[in-house]
Amino acid sequence: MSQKALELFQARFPEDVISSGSALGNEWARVKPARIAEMAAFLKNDPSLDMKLLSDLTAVDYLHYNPDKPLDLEDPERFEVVYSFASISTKQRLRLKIRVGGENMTIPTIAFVYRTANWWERLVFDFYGVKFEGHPHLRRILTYDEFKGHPLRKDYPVHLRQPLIPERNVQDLVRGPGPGRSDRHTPFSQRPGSRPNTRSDAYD
Amino acid sequence: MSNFQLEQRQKSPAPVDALSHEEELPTEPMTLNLGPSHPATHGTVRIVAELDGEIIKKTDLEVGFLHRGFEKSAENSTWTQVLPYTDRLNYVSPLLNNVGYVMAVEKLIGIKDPERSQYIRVIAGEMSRMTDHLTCVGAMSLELGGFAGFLYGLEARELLWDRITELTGARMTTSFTRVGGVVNDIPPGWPEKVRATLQRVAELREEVDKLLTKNRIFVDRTKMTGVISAEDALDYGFTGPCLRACGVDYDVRKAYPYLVYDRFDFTVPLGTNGDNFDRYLVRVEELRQSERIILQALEQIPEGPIIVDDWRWALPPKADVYGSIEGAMAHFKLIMEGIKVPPGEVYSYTEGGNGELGWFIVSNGTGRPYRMHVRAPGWPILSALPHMIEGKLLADLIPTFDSINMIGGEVEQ
Repeated sequence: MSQKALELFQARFPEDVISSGSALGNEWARVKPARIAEMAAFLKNDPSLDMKLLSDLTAVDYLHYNPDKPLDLEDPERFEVVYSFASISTKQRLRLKIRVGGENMTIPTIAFVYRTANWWERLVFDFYGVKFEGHPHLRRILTYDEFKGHPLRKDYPVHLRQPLIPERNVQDLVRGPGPGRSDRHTPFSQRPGSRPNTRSDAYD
Repeated sequence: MSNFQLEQRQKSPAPVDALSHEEELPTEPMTLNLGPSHPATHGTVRIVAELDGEIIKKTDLEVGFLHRGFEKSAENSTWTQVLPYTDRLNYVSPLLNNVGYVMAVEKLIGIKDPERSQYIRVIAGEMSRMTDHLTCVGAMSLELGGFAGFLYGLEARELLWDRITELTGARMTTSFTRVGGVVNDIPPGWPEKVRATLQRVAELREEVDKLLTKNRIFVDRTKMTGVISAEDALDYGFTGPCLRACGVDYDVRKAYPYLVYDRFDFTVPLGTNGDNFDRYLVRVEELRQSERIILQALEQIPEGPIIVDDWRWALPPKADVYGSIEGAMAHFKLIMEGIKVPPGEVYSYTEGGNGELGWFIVSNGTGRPYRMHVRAPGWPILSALPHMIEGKLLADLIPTFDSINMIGGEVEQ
């Protein structure tokens, strides 16, 4: 559908494109992070691309994606940040993907190219902990400042509770409110006697 | 207001005497907390406004009061179990979310639902769009002091929800679609009821239109307030009625036709100024267009199955579940393990009540979505609220917040 856009993009940034492809009517390119702001500006301002709309910006945590692969929390390619660009006039769409991981993962911000990226980047930071270098005020957006961890990471337990005020010790019929058992913050897979959580469909 | 006064107001939204007043007396900024629950707003957003007199100097938005972890929950459910969560995203147009979600999954699998199901989805979706716009217009009227407009709007909305209840069994928590089709066929006699309802809804819509469109108070408070230019709107990621109010012709139903939208004759209303009044007008006009689409779809709808006959994706009919071992096995596997969606990733988009409703889904071939991200159309629009109200009067905040139709369920997930 948007092969032309992908070719134009690759011709402009030949060294930064790691791989590219087309699936289910969506064209995508995996790129290096360093020049992402320049790429976004090119997509936005090039008259034959004219991608004025950054329709979406999100991330994926690939920790559990392949069940046979050993878990590696510090994998340099653990997270994938996905940018979806769209053009109103030419109806072309292109997705850019960046792999990051490790302790201090940063990507240059594109909040100065597309103002909508401001909140999306805050959301990705909040949920995944990916830092955007140069962002005007990178702070949590849907959770609160006291929140510990990044909830959409695959190693964040589903039932972990982080109340701002202490909960009364009253057990609900199913699971809460109330502090519950003392090992409540330990994921099920890490409690004594359980098997490690390596399968993606087995969740805590 | 005379033409001269209107022109003056267009040039500078702040009244002249307020500015001169500021020069004479020393003032200090005042911080005002609006929300998270405030009688003049709806939804749960806290707006911290720094005021200089009546002028908003700076705002900070705090969102997330309604955050309930939709994406995390979806990643730990089977594909079908996600559907009830989607109802609760934009809870005034749940059917549009249902349709958008299953279309994304179908795109990933590579199947298409039967034609009759596509028509049912269009009819149900457009009725949902009407309830969405009626809620927005009604709430806008209410919060600007016109209780009558709200009552007429809600009467029309309830009538539509009665029809939706007859179709799906629930007013708002519909969960009506399934991967490969819809749950129920149209009940007998329903199309006639819908036609009668649409006639009454049209009367009520005209009533609201008459009450508001030429109402002095309403026009004064909405015209040339909350203005955003087309360029800024695109930069902020606007889609849907709010973008069309700026004059940008972008409607997913026309730009990338899905389902059977290319078979209907309807127009996409456009505004010119990008102000609150245009956003209101676009919504009222879209009510008329939705009505046209529903009437055409009721004429054209063919007979046939309402869900695909492929037991890998859709549950077998009950006669097969209880009468054959293959049916029982297929049923068991679909319920216990979930649909085995092939590995891959997809970004699918449909036109929701507030704009482009996008779904970014990654599957790794197990029975659960590996990653489920919803691009709520209200999210980028809300992020532009400070841009639209800073430097303007505090009173302009209320109509602006109303006309962008912030829905806490979808924005805060």
